[in-house]
Amino acid sequence: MAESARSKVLVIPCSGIGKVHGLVAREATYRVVEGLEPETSDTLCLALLVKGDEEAVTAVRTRPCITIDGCPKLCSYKNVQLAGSNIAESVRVVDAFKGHKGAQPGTATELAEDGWSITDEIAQQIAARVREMCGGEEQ
Amino acid sequence: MAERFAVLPCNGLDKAVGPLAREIALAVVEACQGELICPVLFNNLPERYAKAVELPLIVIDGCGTRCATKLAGEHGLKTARKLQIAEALKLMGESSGESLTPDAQRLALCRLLAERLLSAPEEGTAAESEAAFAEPVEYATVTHDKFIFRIPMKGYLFDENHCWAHIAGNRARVGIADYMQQELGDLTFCELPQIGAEVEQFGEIGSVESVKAVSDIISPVSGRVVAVNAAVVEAPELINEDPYVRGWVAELEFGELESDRALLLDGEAYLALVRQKAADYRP
Amino acid sequence: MSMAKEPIKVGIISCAGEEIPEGTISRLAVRRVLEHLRPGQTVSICLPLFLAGNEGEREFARSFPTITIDGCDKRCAQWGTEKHSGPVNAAFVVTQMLKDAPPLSGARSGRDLTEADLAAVELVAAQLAAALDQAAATYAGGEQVAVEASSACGCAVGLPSGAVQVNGKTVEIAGLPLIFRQCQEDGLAADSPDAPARLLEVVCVYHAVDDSEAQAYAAALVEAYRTSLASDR
Repeated sequence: MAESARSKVLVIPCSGIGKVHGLVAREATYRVVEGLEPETSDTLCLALLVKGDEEAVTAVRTRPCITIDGCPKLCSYKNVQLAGSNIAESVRVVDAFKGHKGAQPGTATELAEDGWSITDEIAQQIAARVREMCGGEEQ
Repeated sequence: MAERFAVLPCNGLDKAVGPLAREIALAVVEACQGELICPVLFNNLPERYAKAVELPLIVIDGCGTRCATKLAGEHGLKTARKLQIAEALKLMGESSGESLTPDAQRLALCRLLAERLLSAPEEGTAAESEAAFAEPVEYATVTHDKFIFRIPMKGYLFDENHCWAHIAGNRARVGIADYMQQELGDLTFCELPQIGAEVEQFGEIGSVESVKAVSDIISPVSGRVVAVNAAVVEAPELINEDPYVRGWVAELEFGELESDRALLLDGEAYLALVRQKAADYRP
Repeated sequence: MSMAKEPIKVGIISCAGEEIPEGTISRLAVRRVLEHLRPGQTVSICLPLFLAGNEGEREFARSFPTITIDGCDKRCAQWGTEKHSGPVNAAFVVTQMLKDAPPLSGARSGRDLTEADLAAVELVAAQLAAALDQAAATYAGGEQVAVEASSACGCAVGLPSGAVQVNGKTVEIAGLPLIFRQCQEDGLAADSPDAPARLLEVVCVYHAVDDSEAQAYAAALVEAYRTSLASDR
């Protein structure tokens, strides 16, 4: 089997600092890569990728990627795609909010209970996709 | 009173979309107290539905074969509204599934599609409307820090609640201004009025919700709602992306435009208001 | 030059730094400055949006003093800002700022931050706030106050400076190495007929140049730029 790090699915959030959606994207990523699927997923700095860091660019071109964007501006999706990745899944946090009318998620600094709940929901969705992708690659 | 329709669904007994067509048809008929047309019986005994076809017709096809559309065409019926279920589901990121018995999720989708059918503009008038409400050619901007607020200078009237009305002939489209959509942030829900509803000037004509707030949409003009923009229910971010054109909310036929106009702001006056407000802008 | 009387807002761009704990510290420190330490005086610029081309974010960074804060020495925020909007007023790197502080726990998620991590946020935020005050004062004063030159690392308080010879005098110009780097990345050749005007135009944003000396400055800048390009090869 290839080195485990190199085969991990990359989960790349936008981490937009101005909106709570960016924080949800970031925290959902950590929930997946640290909690739910630490053996099969990892993250990567989006800005490093945009900067053209060789290691980052190689990683997105050779490993399956899931992007998480806070808002419809799709900064992560667009930049990961520009870097040459074939994105396996694109998640938009704002879509998750559409299932939670009236939610009070918190702020761009700190999530409230609703925010963590939506974060965990998104994380579960992504973790399931990661398992699906890894299960598909096993011989 | 809401408009009544005759509804002609396809049959599709052997496909998953067939039962969905039936569910949507039933929901539409119930909502508008219309008439349901059985495609098989209509094909054999069209006279059975002589009264029903006097109503405006909604045609529901399950798939690209479009049996119901063809049937209506063969009998010379004019279609007021139509739905192709497979296409509509695809646009929503959904599928019809495999089962001939719709599950709860698909039944919910059927109800949503039925609502949309009833709120959609009539065939033929939709294109005319779009042409009438052409994109503004001139925008002024107000910049505050990194935020840029756009204001169309011609053809739009505004109220002090940052809602606009774009006038074309005896109709007006309404929506929320760029300042308001930026203040609210990413919109997650949009509620639209019912077609046929009468709205007073400065009355509520819907609402939008973001993670920050729920805000009523205050109609700058009075009139009767003749169309709503169903696209913003499915994708409220359209209002964020393009608040003055694709993000329109409802279309009204006027009440009293001239007396309404006296209480509204034109582009220049609204520009001055936004300049003043921008100093207090807190995203 | 304008003598602005009202407080000038300063932009702060933080790296997102998803991979490292310092990225989280960086982000939280900016939010702390924005919400508590300098509310109403700061504009936080979203780096992903900035890099993706949002004109509002980029134009603000071009027109107003801007500070960058990066989690590590890769300095993505500084790089991005200089590439798209020009030299920054101050550039910080969290790993440098915290080198004498108690070690971080290694947590990246807000759920897992410890007291030590939160203390680190406060430390970084305080330094950012001080730099913001300096940047605002420098801008509001209408002429560039020479900031401490730093030849090296990211905890520099101000811009690195460079010297040119103008009419027999040695003149220190703040930000000169960064200006030269930006021009080089923009493809400006030292021999280009545009070079004198372009270099002078950018330098004048940061350094007072008397009209009578403009030509001498332009010539000196071109020579210094030529030397700079040659030494890079």
